[in-house]
Amino acid sequence: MVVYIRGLWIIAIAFWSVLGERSEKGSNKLESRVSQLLEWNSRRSVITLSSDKFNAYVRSKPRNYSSVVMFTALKPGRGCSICKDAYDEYQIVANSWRYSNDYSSKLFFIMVDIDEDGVDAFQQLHITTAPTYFHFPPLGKRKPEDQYDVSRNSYQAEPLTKWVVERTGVPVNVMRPPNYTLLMIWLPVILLAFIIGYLKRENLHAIYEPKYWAIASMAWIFVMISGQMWNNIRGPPFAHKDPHTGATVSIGLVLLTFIRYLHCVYLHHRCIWLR
Amino acid sequence: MSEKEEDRERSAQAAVGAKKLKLVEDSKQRNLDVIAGAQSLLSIIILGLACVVAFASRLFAVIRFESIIHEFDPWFNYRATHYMAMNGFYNFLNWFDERAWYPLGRIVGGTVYPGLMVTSGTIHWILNSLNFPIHIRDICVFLAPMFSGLTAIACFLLTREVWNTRAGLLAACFIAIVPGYISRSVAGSYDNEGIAIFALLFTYFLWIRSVKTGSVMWATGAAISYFYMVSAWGGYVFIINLVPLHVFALLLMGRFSNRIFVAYTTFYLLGLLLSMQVPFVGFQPIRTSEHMAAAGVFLLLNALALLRYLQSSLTGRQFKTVFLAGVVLSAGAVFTGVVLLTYLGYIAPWSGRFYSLYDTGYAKIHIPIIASVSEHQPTTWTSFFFDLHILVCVFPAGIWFVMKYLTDERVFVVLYAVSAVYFAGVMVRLMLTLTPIVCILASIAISHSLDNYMKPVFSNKEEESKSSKKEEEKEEGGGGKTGSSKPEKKSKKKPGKVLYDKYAPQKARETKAVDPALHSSEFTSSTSIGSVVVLLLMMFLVLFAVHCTWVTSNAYSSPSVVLASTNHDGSRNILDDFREAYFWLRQNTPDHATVMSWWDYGYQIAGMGNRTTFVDNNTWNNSHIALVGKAMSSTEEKAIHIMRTLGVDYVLVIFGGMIGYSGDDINKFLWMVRIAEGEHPQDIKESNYFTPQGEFRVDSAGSQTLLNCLMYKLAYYRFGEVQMYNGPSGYDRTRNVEIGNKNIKLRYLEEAYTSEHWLVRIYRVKADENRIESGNRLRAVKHKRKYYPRKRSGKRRGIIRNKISSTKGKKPASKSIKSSKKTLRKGQ
Repeated sequence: MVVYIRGLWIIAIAFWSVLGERSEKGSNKLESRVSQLLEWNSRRSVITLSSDKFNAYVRSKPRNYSSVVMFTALKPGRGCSICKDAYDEYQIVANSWRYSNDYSSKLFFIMVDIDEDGVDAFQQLHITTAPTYFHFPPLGKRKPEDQYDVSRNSYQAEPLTKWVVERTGVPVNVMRPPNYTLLMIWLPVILLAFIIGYLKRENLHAIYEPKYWAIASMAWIFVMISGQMWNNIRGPPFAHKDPHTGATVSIGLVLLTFIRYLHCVYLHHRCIWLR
Repeated sequence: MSEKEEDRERSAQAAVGAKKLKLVEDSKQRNLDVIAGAQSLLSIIILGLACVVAFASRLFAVIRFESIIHEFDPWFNYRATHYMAMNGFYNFLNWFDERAWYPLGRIVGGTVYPGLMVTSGTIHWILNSLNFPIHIRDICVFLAPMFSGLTAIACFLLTREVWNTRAGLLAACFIAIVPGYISRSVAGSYDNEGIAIFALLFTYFLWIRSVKTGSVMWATGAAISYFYMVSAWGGYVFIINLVPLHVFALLLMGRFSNRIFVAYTTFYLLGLLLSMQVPFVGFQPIRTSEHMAAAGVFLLLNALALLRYLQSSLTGRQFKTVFLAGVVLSAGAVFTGVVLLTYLGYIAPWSGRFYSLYDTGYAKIHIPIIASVSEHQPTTWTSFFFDLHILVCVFPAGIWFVMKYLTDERVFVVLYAVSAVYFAGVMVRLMLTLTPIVCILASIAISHSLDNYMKPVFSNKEEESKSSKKEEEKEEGGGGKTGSSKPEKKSKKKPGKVLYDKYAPQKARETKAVDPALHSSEFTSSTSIGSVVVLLLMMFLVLFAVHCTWVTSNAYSSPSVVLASTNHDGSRNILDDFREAYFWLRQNTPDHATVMSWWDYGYQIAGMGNRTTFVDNNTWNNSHIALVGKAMSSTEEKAIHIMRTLGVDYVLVIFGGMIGYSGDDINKFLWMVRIAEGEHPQDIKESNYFTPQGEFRVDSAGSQTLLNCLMYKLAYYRFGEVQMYNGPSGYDRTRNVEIGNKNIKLRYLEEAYTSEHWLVRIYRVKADENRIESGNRLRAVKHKRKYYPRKRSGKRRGIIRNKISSTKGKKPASKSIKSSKKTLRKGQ
């Protein structure tokens, strides 16, 4: 019995030493790859790879990092209209990971463009549509869930991030750069208002005139009761189904809303006239 | 002589003249007195009638069904009231309900607004001490209609303060029958909103009164009324934000006065102290952001008053420096203070429900449980029209008139309208707070138009005719109500009232209704434009009354505990499955049995079945709900694990496929999945329950995850055997498909009860199989782990666990046979 156990020990030690040597080799290669990826990542938050590099850095084993890959076709000749928007959203996700406090080498955001030497990668994974997102886990095989369902979840940054967090377990919070378009629209208006106010500062008592306030509050009420809030929250109904024929009638509800508007305006005029 | 005579004559004449004049004046005075008396008498009569109508029009459900509590939340309120009536107020405050949220329990006393229970408990106590033996249930059922009558009075008072008596009477009539308010206050709908709207309007009336008079008494009254509101409904936040907003607006408009200062400081301080006496509210008024606006305005108002005082005692230059320094210092201090307190956690940020009011996309993304409730959806314009009818079109005109003749209290009305219309647009539920102001403003608009257009015709007896006009209108409203609501009682109609049949053609009805009004006021002779306008208005109001009655009768008077369907011949069919099943639970299960169901039915199970529930409509613990959702949406094998952990005895599901009831659990199922996914994203995935095309289908094309989950199995268990008419077997009438999994076998549950129309199905969780070890073990079986070296794993020998070792010539031990049987069963 004792002899038997001792023999086992010897075998085990021998096995470990062999394994350790192998893993050392692997880790050497792994380290160099990670450092290479980190270096790329320090320059750009989304790393663009060709097919060969994709195979070398994303698919080869062993790895200790997750990679999320977007397969896309950004060249205008391809005619992929949403790819540009999808790229922007992807950039937002990658940036929020790149500049977050938890940033580490656990996760890389990679992009393979079909026109930047990526045809082979597309073929290997049997990808026929763009954009397509894959997650490559550090251990084990890819599961069906590792392909992101674009058609159901949209390419927006938030659902994408949710999926990334779910698959990788790495905390990523979307940080959208503030949207300045709204400000750019409103800034001139506000400025104009200020300028007019300044020029007419002798006549500022007009803002104490209840008439204007009455008009403003009535406009507010009309906006609220005419279902604009609903449109704002739920998105406007571009089309709806006719309950009798089953045919799709476009802008039906919008039209009704307009009818309602006219109704209100009509009443309003009537009331003023009544006065 | 002649002079003297002349003098005498003159003086006599003068005396006679004076006498005559005096007589004339007296008679005039008397006439005026009579008119005034008649007016106030009429007002009282109209107001009384409005109260009666408000009460009577809410009784449809009681007449059609019976005096029962409706829906879901009222069942909890009723249970709590019952507990309070039985055990007293202090026991109620300390009540720990171990029958809800098993195994956690719920502290009821500290987590409800007790105003409702205290109100009905007090009425019950008074009536009982007067020797009226009335059951607490009847008080609960009739509480909301009773308070609607009071609301009509409060609305009258408020409108009278803002505009005049005539408008006030109209407003009282409107609020008595407007569907937007009836929807929450029919008999049997025993909920906080029923009494809260009265408290809201009464508080506003007292507040406006105190702003007008500047008296401490009215302000104190407002604070006490506010306290009642706080104890009744969470919507009190609306008051504590609107009143400061009013004060702030007045300050901005330069309408600061000592009246406002006295009114607001009294109201705020007393209201703050009183509101903190309600256990559920506690320290929230000084700690949460919702209440900070009130505190800020309080500080501002005091600062302004101080400045005014300084201004009166300092010179201009000194004052300027003091003013600037004061503004900078105080603004900085307040800002840093608020930031610091928020940072340190003394002031909590906005709670989710309130936050979702401001950032309208918030709830949809972050809190599925708030988004899942249908009353938290945004409002479509159709529901505005459905709930308010003609009033929603008229009330912007009311704003116009109010703004035209602006005073301190009218600013309040405008602010109320503008803010309430926003909230109503965001959430259907808050239509309730919009309704009173719509009634008030519409009544102002209509009364103002009537005032204008009836002047030339009735210049002499203007006042009288106006009130009589209103009387007519009122009568019409009332007539419409009784006429259309109780067609079977047609013979009992009073002759004086205008009657019209529900089934009569529309046009005939209108003329019939309007004509007597015209004749009675001798109006037909005039052909001026005024008559046309008045006629039109009358027509609209008649249509409004008809609409209100129709909506009340058809849309808002269903108890939803008892369902009714109409047969082809017009007779009614009552489906009483819910009560049947809950009563079965009450009678046939052990007293402390636990029933798992989706949270919608928690209050009903507790109220009617008197059994312990896991989750209920008080959705305070999202993870517990998610656990139940997870159990419902995973396979039976996984679900039994969760159910054993929770200690479930019975599972209750609502299934509408047999009779075509659309509000059943299969239709709610996606919310269970969503809520479960929110807490357990690793185990539950919403996308698994859809077909690859993204459809939610229960037929054979549906996803396998759906067809094998517990909820599906429980809903459709043995439904495949049912064949109706000539259709296929297992045909779901709600979703109009043949179900996909007809051969359902349950392993850990068994069917315990299914109600008559299969609406409620109850399953019993089977106990663990009998594997108790015997007390006197003769021999302990030791399981040895044999070691097999890894290396030879390719050629590993097969083993038989607990193999009977037999030696030649010896009988095998009986114990070892038993143990091998046991392991066999284990592996089953």
